[in-house]
This record gives sequence, structure tokens and C-alpha cells, in this order.
Amino acid sequence: MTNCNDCRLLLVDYERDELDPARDAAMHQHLQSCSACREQWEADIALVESLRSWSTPREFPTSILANVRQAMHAERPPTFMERLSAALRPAYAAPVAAALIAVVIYSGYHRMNQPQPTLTGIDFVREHLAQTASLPSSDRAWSTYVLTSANTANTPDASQSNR
Amino acid sequence: MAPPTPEQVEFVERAMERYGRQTYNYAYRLTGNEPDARDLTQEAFIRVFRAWESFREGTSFLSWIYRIVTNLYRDELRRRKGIFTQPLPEDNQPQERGPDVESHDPIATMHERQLSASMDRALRTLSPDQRAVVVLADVEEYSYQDIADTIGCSIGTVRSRLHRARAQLRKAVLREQGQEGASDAKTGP
Repeated sequence: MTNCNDCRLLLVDYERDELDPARDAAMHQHLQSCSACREQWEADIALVESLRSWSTPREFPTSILANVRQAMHAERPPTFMERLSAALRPAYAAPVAAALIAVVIYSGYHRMNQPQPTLTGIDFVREHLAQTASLPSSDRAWSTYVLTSANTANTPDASQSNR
Repeated sequence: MAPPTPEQVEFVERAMERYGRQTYNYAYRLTGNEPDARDLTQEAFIRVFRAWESFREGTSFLSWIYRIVTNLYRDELRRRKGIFTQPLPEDNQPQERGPDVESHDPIATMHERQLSASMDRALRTLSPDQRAVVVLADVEEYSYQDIADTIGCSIGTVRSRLHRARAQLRKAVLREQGQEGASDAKTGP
């Protein structure tokens, strides 16, 4: 059996059909017999009806549609020029330029500090030999001429010694 | 942010087409005025656009967007320190209402607008959470479970909020009716 206090607590659930069958039946029975609770229940129903009539549906404003579409369009993929200009922004361009300058400076410094070739005496001798090797008066030409057997046989010194 | 895909744009277009009106009406019932309802609905669809991949197939889109609108409404109220400052449309201002509600009887129209204004004032006495529960329960006719899912609380909390909100609303409506009765008596013929 439902008393008035229980009934007031369950009135919303009863009106919304959210009670189990046993409680629903008890509520129904109580409302038939208690005029005060029935009055409260009818007031609740009237309140809900006023709420529904207050909230008569309105048309969807076209401005919302336009603004949402505009927002979506604003987030389209960037064009080539936009990507290029974004890449050239100072935030990106400055570090890249600094890196390039650093590379140029480092390579120049590295080149300057490379060990220079040093000339020794033997280099001058080799150079001299290379330049004079083909001349008849060169040391090599003379020694080749002298040391061949034919030339040795024809020389006046050699004929004298053969005798 | 990643560029939008054609599927993403299509998703939002369809959502606005199918649920735009309901979402706008829900926002209007929460805020009580057109400019704020418009802003709230617009922002909700932009959130849908950005988070469309988080929508799970087989779940209710309407519950999802109602949750977004409710959260935006709460955030906005917090930002504005509890008050939507936009005034209600006056009786002589045009309103964007559906064709089914137009009345040809000027007295009936005026009475309807008076009732609407007094109900709106009564609803302003509720907290944002109470108002959201009342709108979802009594206007949208959501079940306790659906309200709990939309608002993000337990069924017990929904029940107690609705119970308190109804009691408070009943008192506020009676107070409004009393004031209207008094003003009618003063200005009456």
C-alpha cells in the first residue's frame, strides 16, 4: 500500500511510466482514493503540457548552415602557394639560412687549414731531370750514349785501348 | 589540423540536414533565446566536424550532439557567470517559429506568448543541470537511461534532479501566474 509521502516521491516516475508493474498498480490505486495526491499529479501533467507547448519547434536557421560550411571550408587542404609561403616563414627560413651559413663557413675554414705541400731537394732534382731528360746535353742522354756498346767501340779512347 | 576529407564534410552536411532542427530546438530550450541557441548549435556542429571520427556507428547521433550542446551550454554559463544575458524576444518582435504554430487568433497568440514568457522566466530559476534534465525528460521525452547517458551521470541523479526541478518549476510557475494575475487586475478594464 502506498502512502502520500511515497506517492509524492514516485509521482514523476509514475507519470513517466518508469515504475515496475507492482508499484505502478499501487500508485494507480492510491491516486484513485487520495484527492490531494491526484491534484498534485494533475498539476504535474499540466506543467509538462505547458512545457511542451512552450517549446514549440522552431525552424533551423540557415545562417547556422552557412557558418558551419564556412568553417569547414576554412579548414580545406592548403594550396601549393600556401605551403610554399608557410615554408618560407621566418620560423622555418631563419634556421635553414643559419645552417647554410654555418656549412659555408665551416667548409671555408676546413679548406684553409688543410696542410700545404712542402718542397724538398729531391723535388727540385726530379723537376730538373724531367725538364732536361730529352736534351743531348742532359746527364741521362750522355750516360745512355756512352754506355751503349756500339758507341763505346767507336770512341777514340776505346780504339786505343783495343790496340 | 588535418585537412577535411569529402566523407567528413558529407557526414556533417547529412547531420545538419537530419538533426539540425532538433539540435537547434534543444539549444533554444536550454538558452531561452535565439542568438545563443544559434551560437551553441553552430559550435556543436563544428565540434562534430572536428571529432567526427569519434562517433561510433550504431549509437545515437542525437544523444551525442545533445551531449555536446549540454557541455557547451554548461561551459558558456560558467564563462558568463551563470546568466545568458541575451533578452527574450519581446511580444512585438518577429520570431522564427514553425508554420504549425502560427495562430490566426491574435488574442490566442498573445496569450500563448505570455505563457511562453512566464514559462521561460520560471525555467531561469533552475540550475543548468536541472534545466537540461527537464528539457530532456519532459520536452524531448527521453528515458532516464538516455538522459543519464547524455548528461553523463547516474539514473539516480537524473531522478533526483528531475524531482527537484519539477517541484521548483511548479512553484516558479505559480509565482509567475500570481504576478500576472496581479498585473492583469491592475491594468484590467
